[in-house]
Amino acid sequence: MTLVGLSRVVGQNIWRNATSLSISAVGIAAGIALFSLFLALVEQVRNVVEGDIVPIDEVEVVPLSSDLQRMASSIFGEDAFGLSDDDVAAIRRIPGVVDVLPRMNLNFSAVSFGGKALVGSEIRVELIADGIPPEQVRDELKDPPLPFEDLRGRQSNRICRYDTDCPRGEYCEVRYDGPPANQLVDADPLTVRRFRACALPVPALLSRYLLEFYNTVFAPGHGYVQLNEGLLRAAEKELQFTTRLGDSFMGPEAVGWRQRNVRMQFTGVSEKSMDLGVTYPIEYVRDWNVEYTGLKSGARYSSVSVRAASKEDISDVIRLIREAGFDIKSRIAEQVSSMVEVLGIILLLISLIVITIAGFNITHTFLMLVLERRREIGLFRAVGATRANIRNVFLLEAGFIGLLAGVLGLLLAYVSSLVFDTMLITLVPQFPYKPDTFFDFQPWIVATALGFAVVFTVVGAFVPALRAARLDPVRALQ
Amino acid sequence: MALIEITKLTKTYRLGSLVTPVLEEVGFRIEEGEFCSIVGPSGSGKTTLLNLLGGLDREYEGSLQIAGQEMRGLSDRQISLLRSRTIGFIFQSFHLLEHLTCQENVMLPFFFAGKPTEEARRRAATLLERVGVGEKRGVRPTYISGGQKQRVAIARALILSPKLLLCDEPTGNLDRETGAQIVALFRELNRDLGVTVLVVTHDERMSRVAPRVLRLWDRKVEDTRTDPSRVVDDLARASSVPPAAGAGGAA
Ligand SMILES: Nc1ncnc2c1ncn2[C@@H]1O[C@H](COP(=O)(O)OP(=O)(O)O)[C@@H](O)[C@H]1O
Ligand SMILES: [Mg+2]
Repeated sequence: MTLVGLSRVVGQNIWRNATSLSISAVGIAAGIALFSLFLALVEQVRNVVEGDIVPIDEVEVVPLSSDLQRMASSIFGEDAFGLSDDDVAAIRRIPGVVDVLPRMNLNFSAVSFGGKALVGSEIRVELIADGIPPEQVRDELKDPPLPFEDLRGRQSNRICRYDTDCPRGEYCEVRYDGPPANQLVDADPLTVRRFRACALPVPALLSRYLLEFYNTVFAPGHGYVQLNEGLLRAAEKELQFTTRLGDSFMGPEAVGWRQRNVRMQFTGVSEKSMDLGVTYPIEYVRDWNVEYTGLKSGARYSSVSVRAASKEDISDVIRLIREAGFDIKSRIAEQVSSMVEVLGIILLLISLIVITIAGFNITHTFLMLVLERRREIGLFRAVGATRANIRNVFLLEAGFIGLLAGVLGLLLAYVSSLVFDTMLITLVPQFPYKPDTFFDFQPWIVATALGFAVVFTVVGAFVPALRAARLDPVRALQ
Repeated sequence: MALIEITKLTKTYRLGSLVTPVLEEVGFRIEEGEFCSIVGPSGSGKTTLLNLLGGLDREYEGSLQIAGQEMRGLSDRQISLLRSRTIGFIFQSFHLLEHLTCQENVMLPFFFAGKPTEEARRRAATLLERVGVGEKRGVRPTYISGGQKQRVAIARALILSPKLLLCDEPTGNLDRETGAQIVALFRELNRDLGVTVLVVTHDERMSRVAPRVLRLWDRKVEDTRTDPSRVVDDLARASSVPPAAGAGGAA
């Protein structure tokens, strides 16, 4: 039997039974619509989470420890906790690791305020910050308003009363003189001399995530002006914030008399900055930690950001890091991503159940068709059709129906995705990294959906097709 | 080699405990180009015999060979090939597909024979012309008369140039006049194309038209040949001719 002949017979059959076939195809189409919609949703979430929020080729290495140890080290003010320079070197030697960035958290409370000139109202926030070696972001920052590095060696340190006493670009900063920095914690305030000297602002980095968070959540809520990198660059002076070290909005701090203000200046947006906070050159953070927590040297890092050569290497790198005695900080993005994946799998199962039920519906429809076409099947056998020919006529018919149902389902999914997108964009408030669309119909999704539609329809029609092929021609013709 | 060769053919229907013997050790041969009618009262097994000859029913005892091949031993593929190349069926109820045009109905065997569609279209047109319904090509069978339907069915049976036409009561659904015309067409096709024709009928007038008559009676076949001088082409006239006394010499 030629394919042309077969498809002619099939085409005529479909045309003839268009109504009953399209009713049974609707089930498949609905299932496929759900199926491809869910796949596209999971795909898009993965794009956003893995692509924008956290690059998947990066992990954050932390010391292997219990919370108890962590507590002890903070109580006793020891330097024992954290990663040493040797640890960083060991991590750097792990095969597949291309980049390591040691980070040091600000270990005490601080608040920041300012920005009135820029956003129209004074922003006051609890400061979350850390420090990184500035030389590792130097190439990244183009033409910063202030170099991102330890500027203390370059400032005049001239004694002053007001900012106006200082050279251009400097401000008048409070400092202490007396016991060594790490003993200020327990010092008698009377033994400490308080004075003011001119200093350059502390350069600070923002993360793209924080900017996004500010623009989508913070600014709309407070009626502040939206910011972008261009505006940040243009602002320069306006972007100076005051940071009060040792203060907190959360509750009374024990360091009352030692609180002092430093000024910070945003110098740019960097991937290397911490997500929900600001990042300083590490030297500042180290010295402040010593000053406010009494650590002896501040030589320990809180974590190390590690970048692998590629996405594919990351699991090997993680394994080797664990084997070397370190831990990996689990990332919120990863947790979100795996949650979405689990949800996606559940939804996929639901859509597969829908398609399976639709497949049974196909079986039913085709059994009816076989009954309806009994005589015709008998005639086909009489004019020379083999059993296989009869079976193929029904299977090919099912295949066509499946393909049509698949195309219909994909169209349905696409239209629904447009409706959902419009609804979500208008009804759901902005949130960080809220994308323009929640669906990504990758070619592989389209192909898989069409494949599933055809396979489920053909499988559904298989038993009826066999029954048609086995029909006794004599009985069929009666 | 005879086109049909039957020896000691026995057919018994078994439905559970119900056993219906239909044919018992029947034997005859039919040569290529013969025109033969099978007559007998209803329920005598005419359709059964035809189904066996066409390979639609292959449960029998004894031997049944078509074109030298024993039917029982053939695979589904081989028997389909035989039906496609050697045998054309014509039914009492026509079995035309109502959703296709007359021409497409005629082309149908081509679809399963794996031959090019263009040739099928051409041959179908020629054959429809030949059987006298050329103008009905593009019409669907719903809109034509019974006689015309049977003519379309005949064209369909002929499209792959079979050696053997098996016709089961082809005039059963037609009035006398139309039936006579269809029988005349069979005679013509037999003479002009040399195709072997087996016509099942319970119309006794057929014995005037067919040179050879197989009578089914009491599970046996009585093979009779009509005196050639008394054979007429026209069934309408056949009814006015007195029945041949005792029919011609037995085979
Ligand atoms: N599929 C079948 N199963 C059982 N008995 C059958 C079947 N087909 C026909 N018969 C019986 O066989 C006999 C011959 O039937 P059939 O060949 O149709 O006769 P005819 O065509 O001469 O009228 C009848 O008694 C009929 O009841
Ligand atoms: Mg009959």
